Amino acid sequence: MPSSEPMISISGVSKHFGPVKAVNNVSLDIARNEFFAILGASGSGKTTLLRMLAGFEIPNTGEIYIEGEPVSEIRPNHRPTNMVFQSYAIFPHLNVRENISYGLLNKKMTKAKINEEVDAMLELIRLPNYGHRAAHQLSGGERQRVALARALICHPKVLLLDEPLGALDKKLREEMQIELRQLQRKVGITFVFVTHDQEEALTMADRIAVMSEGKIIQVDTPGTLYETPSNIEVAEFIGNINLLRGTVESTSDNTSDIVVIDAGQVGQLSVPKGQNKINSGDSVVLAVRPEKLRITTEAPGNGYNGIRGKMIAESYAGDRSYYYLNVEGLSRRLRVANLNEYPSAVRSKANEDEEVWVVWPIESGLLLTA
Amino acid sequence: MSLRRRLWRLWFLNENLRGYFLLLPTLLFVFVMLMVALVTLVVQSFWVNNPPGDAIQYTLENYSMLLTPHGEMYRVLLVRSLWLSLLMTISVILFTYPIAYVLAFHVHKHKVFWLIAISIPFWISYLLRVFSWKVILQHDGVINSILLGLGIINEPLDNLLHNRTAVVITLTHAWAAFAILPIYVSLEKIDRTLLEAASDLGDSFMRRFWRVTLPLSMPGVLGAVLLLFIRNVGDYVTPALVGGVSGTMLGNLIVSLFTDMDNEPLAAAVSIVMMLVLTLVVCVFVMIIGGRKRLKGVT
Amino acid sequence: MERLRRPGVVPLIIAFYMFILYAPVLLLPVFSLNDSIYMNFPLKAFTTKWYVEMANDVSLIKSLWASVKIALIAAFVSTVLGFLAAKAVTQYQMRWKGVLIGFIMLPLIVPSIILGASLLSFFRQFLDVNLSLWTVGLAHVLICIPFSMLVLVARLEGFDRSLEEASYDLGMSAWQTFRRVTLPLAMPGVLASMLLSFMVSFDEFLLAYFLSGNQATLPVYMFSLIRFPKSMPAVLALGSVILILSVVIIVVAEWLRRGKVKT
Repeated sequence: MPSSEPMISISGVSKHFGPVKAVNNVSLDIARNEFFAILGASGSGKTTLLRMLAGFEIPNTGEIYIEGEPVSEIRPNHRPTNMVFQSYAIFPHLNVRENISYGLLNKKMTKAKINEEVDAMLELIRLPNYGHRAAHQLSGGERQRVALARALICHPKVLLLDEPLGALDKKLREEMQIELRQLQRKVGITFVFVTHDQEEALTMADRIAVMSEGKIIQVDTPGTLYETPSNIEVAEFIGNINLLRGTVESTSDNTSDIVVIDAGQVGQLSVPKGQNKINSGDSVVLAVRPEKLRITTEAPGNGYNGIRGKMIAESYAGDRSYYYLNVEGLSRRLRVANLNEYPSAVRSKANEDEEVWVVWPIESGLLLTA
Repeated sequence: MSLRRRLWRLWFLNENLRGYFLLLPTLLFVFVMLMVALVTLVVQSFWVNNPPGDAIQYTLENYSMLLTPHGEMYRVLLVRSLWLSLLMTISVILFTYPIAYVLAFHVHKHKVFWLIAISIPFWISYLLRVFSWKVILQHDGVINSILLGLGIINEPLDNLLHNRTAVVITLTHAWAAFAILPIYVSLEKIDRTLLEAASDLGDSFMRRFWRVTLPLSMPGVLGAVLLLFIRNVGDYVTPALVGGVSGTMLGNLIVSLFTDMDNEPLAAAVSIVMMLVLTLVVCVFVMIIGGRKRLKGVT
Repeated sequence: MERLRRPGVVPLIIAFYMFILYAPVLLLPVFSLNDSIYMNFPLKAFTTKWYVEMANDVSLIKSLWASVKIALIAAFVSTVLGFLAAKAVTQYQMRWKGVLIGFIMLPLIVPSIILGASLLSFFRQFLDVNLSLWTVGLAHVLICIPFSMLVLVARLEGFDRSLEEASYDLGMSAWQTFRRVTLPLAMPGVLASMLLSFMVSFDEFLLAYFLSGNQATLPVYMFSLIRFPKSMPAVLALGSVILILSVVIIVVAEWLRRGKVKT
């Protein structure tokens, strides 16, 4: 089995509804057995892309290949994909068994065989005695599991999920994130899901494609996306980030790959060049994540950047605290996030309105040109 | 791309198209039965009333006759039909508005049940209901027998039936149960906080009703008015059973022209004229209402 | 909510209206059991002979049967057409939607006499067909379609489309999806539409009067009987039977229409 061939290959696909281009020339490869996420805000085109994979929309241009076969003109009922809908779409007039076995009705199987498969599915989703329950008696989480079972029983090559955890409350969501991953490993097929919740994407996916306004702006593993976003849009979309604008003062010489930028009133800051090609005088952005920052009273030493700021607010979130500071020369407040390793009584807090240093290691910063 | 594939793609890419396609059979059916039939009627109204089998000749006489002294009967009946329909519409509204109001504002439990219970009579055969009024109003009918039996009168009243009053009463009763629904719906939709605000600003019940409730319920009332008026101008059954001679309406004449008077082209012409006059009256009415609204600054 | 100062007024008002609306109609069953050919008070003896006479009237039975046949077909056809239109209107965005719906509703507003005259002209002169139960049936479909559409649009309005998409996704064809998902869930509306259309067609007089050929429908037959005082009581018996059936059907239809919305 050629495992290097992608399971799904989306090639130059566009879809428009009237004058609106929902999906704009998207190309993407999804590998076998991958747990793939398409992440974007509402209106980014992610749902339309998913629906094109399922067969509910036909691309205006481009082609979609599943296991090498073009599928754009194959109707949803003949594709090797199955979908879990956002509302779960559990048939209200059928009970759990009937819902799950629905997709098998067309395949010529004996009743006994169907029952066997349904029982196996009920085991898999851990609802073994639910067979005869009516649809309206199910809770949100149970509906989702029934929807999963109903889709998986058809042994699709790809399982598509539309905002799978959106309708669940926080605790259940966290549970289901782990369950879904385990399920995918167990069943061993490609999962593609669509979400607007970046935390969900970061937790569950092997790789994430970030979509904005119909285009894919970056495809990478969660770690890479978070640590090295390729542009400002992705950087801001995933997690929180502080952006410091400035111009390049001196490009690196051959000995080091540190670039110095002049950030105006904020000061002079050093940042690793990374993969960027830049010249003196270029306009750039230094991006640094809130958790990489520390608040101190002493100026930074070698290897650290430091800027002066005034504390204006603190936000307590149980396991961590967020601090907001005004910095001369920065239009937006600087955001610092630290774990509360010590109980509040012991933690030293800066007083509001006190001028402090905010420091971070040079290599924690990120240089972005766009 | 082959033609077949092109068509297939067009079908699946175009939502609008699929919607129209689903709608097509029904639309076509209504179009043919309504529009095409109407055109046929118009065409027939220009025919000379020749025996079947003879050549078709065209004439304007069917229409021009209506303007001559010869057509006075037709004009009289047209005006009478419009007038009776108007009377009946007004009395239905006056009769049903209170009960719709009570249901919307003063009934709190089982609103739906009462609504259904009150509208059931409308769904029972119209013919039967007109007939029951004949039974009530006739010379040896219910009212007379009760009044005689109670000694209130010595001789049966002769003027209950076979006149215009009987027609208006019967039509009012026949349509009352229907009119309750639209009026109720539009009263029900009124935001109660608006009424509370009016009271808070000092309105008494009557003033508030006049200034807030009534205007806001107008859409439902006007809808009912239009429907009632338009449908009843051409009524046949009621005038036929309880109207007698003085209560005859245009509908009776049209049917008679089609049957025993055997003058289909004229019947067609009279029907068309009735429809045109009705449309005109309705348009004028709608314009007046629209004009008044604009004057008041209300949209 | 207002508080009426005199409690007990509301029930009185409702009772008054119910009385006025129902009393005339309720006279029919009362007199149909009365042993007299005159419909007035005081009542004579109790009798069921009018019902017997009604049941023995061959023409009546034939016209009853004709009405039932027409009503069944009209109910079925108008429900099918109404369903297609309701699905189109609730599921798809169309540019002229409002106009088209208004057009389909026209038969409700146009006076029956105009419809009758046009269709008479259409069938006899234009199409040159004989008048028969079929011509009546077609006319009845025309006036039942708006009712059918109203009921079905209300029922299909909140229909969750993802249920149908899920069915496709799981391998069903369009027809199978209709049969297994759409129809079962829309069934209360479909039944209500059929009942309502049946009643509208069964009771309809004027169009049947214009367009029936040799065989009369029940209302047409009743109308001819009403002209003869001697046969009035049999008409009453007939009327009472129709009355009771109508009430039952309406109540069932309304119950179905408002039925438990499952989703």
